[in-house]
Amino acid sequence: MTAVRRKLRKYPARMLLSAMFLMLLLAISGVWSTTAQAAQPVPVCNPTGTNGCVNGILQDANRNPVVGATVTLSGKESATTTTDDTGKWAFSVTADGKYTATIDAGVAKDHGLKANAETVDIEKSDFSKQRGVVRFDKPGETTSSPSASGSASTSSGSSSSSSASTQSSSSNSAGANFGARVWQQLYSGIIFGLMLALMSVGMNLVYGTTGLSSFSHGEQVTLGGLMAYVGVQLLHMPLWAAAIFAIIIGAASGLLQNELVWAPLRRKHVGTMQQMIVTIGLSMVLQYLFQFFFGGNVKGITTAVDQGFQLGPITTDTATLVSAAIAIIVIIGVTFFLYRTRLGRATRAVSDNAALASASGINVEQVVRVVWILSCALAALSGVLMGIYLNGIAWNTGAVLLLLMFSAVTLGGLGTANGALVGSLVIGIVADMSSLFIPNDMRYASALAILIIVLLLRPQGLFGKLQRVG
Amino acid sequence: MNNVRYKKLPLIATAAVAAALMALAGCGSSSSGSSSSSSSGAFVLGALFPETGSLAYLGPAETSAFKLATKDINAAGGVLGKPITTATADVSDADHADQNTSGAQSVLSKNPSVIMGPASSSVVKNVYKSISEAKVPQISMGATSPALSGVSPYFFRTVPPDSVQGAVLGNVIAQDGVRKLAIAVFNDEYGTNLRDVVVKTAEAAGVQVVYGEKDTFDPTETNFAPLVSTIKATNPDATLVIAFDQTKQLVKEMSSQGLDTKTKMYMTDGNTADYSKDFTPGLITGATGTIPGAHPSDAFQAKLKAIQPGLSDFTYSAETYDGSILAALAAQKGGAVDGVTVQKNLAAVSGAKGGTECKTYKDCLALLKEKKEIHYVGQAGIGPFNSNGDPSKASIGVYKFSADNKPVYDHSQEGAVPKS
Repeated sequence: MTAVRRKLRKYPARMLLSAMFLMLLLAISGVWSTTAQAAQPVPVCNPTGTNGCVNGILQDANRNPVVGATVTLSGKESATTTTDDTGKWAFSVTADGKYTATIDAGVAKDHGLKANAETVDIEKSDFSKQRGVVRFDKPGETTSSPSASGSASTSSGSSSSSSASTQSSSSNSAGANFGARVWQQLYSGIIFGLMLALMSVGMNLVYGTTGLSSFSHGEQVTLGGLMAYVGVQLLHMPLWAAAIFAIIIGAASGLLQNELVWAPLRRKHVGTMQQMIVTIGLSMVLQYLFQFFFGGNVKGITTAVDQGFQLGPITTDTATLVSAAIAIIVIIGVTFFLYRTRLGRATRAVSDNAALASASGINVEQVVRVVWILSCALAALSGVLMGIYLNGIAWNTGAVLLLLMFSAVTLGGLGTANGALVGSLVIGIVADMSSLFIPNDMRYASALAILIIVLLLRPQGLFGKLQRVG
Repeated sequence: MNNVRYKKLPLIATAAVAAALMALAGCGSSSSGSSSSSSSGAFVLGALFPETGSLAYLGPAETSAFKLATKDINAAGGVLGKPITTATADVSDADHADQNTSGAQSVLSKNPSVIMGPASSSVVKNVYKSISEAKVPQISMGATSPALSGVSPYFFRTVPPDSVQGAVLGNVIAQDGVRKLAIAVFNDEYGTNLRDVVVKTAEAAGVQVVYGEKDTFDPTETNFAPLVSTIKATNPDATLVIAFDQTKQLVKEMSSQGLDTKTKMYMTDGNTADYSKDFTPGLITGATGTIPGAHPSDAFQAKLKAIQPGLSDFTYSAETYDGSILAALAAQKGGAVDGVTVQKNLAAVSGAKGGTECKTYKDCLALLKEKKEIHYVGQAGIGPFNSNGDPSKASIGVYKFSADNKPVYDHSQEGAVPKS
C-alpha cells in the first residue's frame, strides 16, 4: 500500500525531471536531441550552468593515446563513446550525482593501466565537481607490469612492487638530473657573474678614484638596457647599432653628471658620505623618470627568442655566448687600459693616492672625468647584455642588481679592478649553484653569506690591500 | 655679516616649515568642509587604478569600463536626479606601498560615495582599513585573494576568489592528459594561494606536481635561468606559470632552454594578457589561461573601444563596469549618496533579496523609481553579493593563445562560489 503510494508520488516527479532534462538538452544542443538518454558523448565537453562533464584522455603508460577504445558511462545517466585520434573522450551529463566510467578490462591490461573503472562525483554548481576527469592511471606508477590489472589481491601486490620500482627509478633520474643541473647552474652562474663583473668594474673604478660608492650605478645599467630597447623597438635599429647608441648615451650621461653634479660637489669639498646620499637621491630620481617615460612593465629588447642548443652537458643559446664573449673581451680591455696605457696608469695612481698623483703632475680632474665616462659606458653596455640575457629590462632592474654589485666589489676588494671580476664570479656562481640545495628564491642569501664570511677572514676583500692606519 | 645670515637660516627654515604645515592643515579643514557639502550633493564615483607598476597593463581596460559606466549612469539621468562626478587616482602595485596609501587618501579626500578598486589583492590589503574607517564601501574588480572574504563590511568584490579559478584550472590541466606538472610561482600571496588550490585539485585528479608544490621565486627576480633549469631537470609534461609581468622574462627563458611554451603551458589571470608586442608570433600559441569573470560580450567590447580606441585587453572591464553600476543603484535605492547608505544597499540591488531582474542602469533605475526590489544582472555574470562581500555565483573564462600571442576566449565555466 505504502509502496504503491510512494511509487505514485515518485512517478510524476521522475516524468517531470526527465522532461526537464530533455528540454534542457534541446535548449543547449539541437544536434543531440534525437535520443532520450540524458548523458551524451560529445567531442569536447565544457561545463555550463546546465551540464557537467565526465571526460579524460585515454593514454597508455608511455603517454601514447589509445585510439578507438570504448568508454562506458554508468551511474545517474549512462552512455557509450569511443576515444578519438588523440585518446580523448567526453560525456556531457545533466544530473548531479555519481558516475562511473569504465573501459574494457582487456584494453586496460594491454596498455598497462592500473584500473579499468573510476567513479567521479558530479555537481554542476560546484567548480571543483562540475568536471570529472577520469584517467584510469595513477601518476608515478607508470612502469607497466603486465599483471597490474589482474585480480584485486595481485594488483595490490604488484602495485606496491611497481611503485617501489618507480621510486628507485625516479631517484636514479633525480641523481642524473642533479648531475646535469650542476653543470647547467655552474654555467649560468659564470655567465651571470661575467655580466655582473662588467657592471661592477665601472662602479669600482669610480670608488677607486673618488672614494664614492655610487648607488645610482644601477640606474646607469637600466639606462643602457632601456636605450637599447628604444633603439631596437622604437627606432628599429639593428641590435648592434642600438647597443652602440646605448653606450654613447651612457657615456654622455657619465660626462654630464660629472660636470653638473660630481665635479662641483668635489670642488666644494662635500664629503663622500654626503655625495653618497646624493647618489641615492639621484638613483630614486632616475628610477621614477624611467618609470614615467617607459612605464612599469618589463621591456624586451628583442621579441625573438634564441632557441637553445645543447653544448655538452649544458643548454645555451647564441646570444648568451656572444654576450659572455663581449663581457670577457671588455673586461680584458679595461684591465689592459689600466695596466698598459698612460691614462690607465694615471687612473691607478689617482686610485692609490690622489694627492700624491696630483703633486706628481697628473690632472686628477681629467682622470676622474674619464673614469666617470668609462664607468657609465660600461654600465650601459652591461645593461644591454643583461637585458638580452635576462630577456627584458624594467625600470628597476638596475636597482635590484645594485646590491649584488656592491657585494661583488666588496668581496673582491673595494677599488681594485680585478677584485670586481673575481667577486662577481664568486657571487654569480655561489648564488646559482646554491639553488641546487636551497629554495630558489633564497639563493642570493647564500652569496651574501659568503660575503660576510670572506670579510670576517679577510677584511680588505680578496684582492684589497691592507690599509695602514695612521 | 655672513655669520648672522647663517645663524638666521635655521630659524627661517623652521618658520617656513611651520607655515607650510599650517597651510596644509588649512587644506585639510577646507576639504572636510567641502565633503559635507558633497555628501548632500552629487554621487562621487571614486576609483583606484594601477596606472603604473607591474599591474599597469590592467589600467586601460578598467579605466575605459569606469568611463563607460559613468557615461551610462549620467545618460540615464545620474543618481537621485543629479549627474555623478568621479575621483580617480593611481595606486601602482604592492611594491609601492607609499603610492597605495597616497592614492587612496587622494580619492578619500574627495569624499567619494564608493571606491572602485584596487585590482590587486596585496594593494587592497594596504588600503582597505583606511577606506573602511572612512565608512566608504570599496568594490574591487580584481582582488581574488581568498583571505579577503568578509574582511570588512565595507569590502565587496565583483570577482570570485581564487579558490574557484584554481579548481577550474586544476581540472583543465588534468583533462589535458598532463601527468607531471611543474609550477613556476612567485612568492606573493596571490601566487601561493592560487597554487595551493591548483595543486589540490590537480593531484585529486591524478596529476603529479613535480616542481613548485612548495618552491617559489622572488617577485623581484630578474634572472630566471636557474629556476628554468631546475624545472627542466624535473622533466615535466607541462608547466603552469603563476606570475605578473615576470612572465615575459620567464617564458622567454623557458623557450630558450627548450621547455614547451606552446600547448604545454598554463597561465592564470595574473598573466593571461596580450603578448603580441612582446613575443615573436607563435611563441606561446596554444597555451591555456584562465581569467575569473565573464568574457565581455562583443557589444560591451565595442562600447569600450568607442571610449578607448585600440583597447585589446578586456580583463576586469566587466567587473569594473558592474561594480560602478551597482554602487550607483545602491545610492539611488537608499536615497542618499553617502558611503554608509551605499554599503547598506549594495547587496540588495545585486539581487540578495530577489527582485526583478534588470540589465542596464536605465532599466534598473526605472524599477527603483517604482519602489521595486531589483536584481542587477550585469556584464560579469556574477550573482548577488553574499554576506562576505563576495559574489555568490561566478564564471571562469578559459582562454587559448592565438598565433599572434593574444588570449582568445575558448569557453567559460559557471558555478557557485563556496562561502569560506
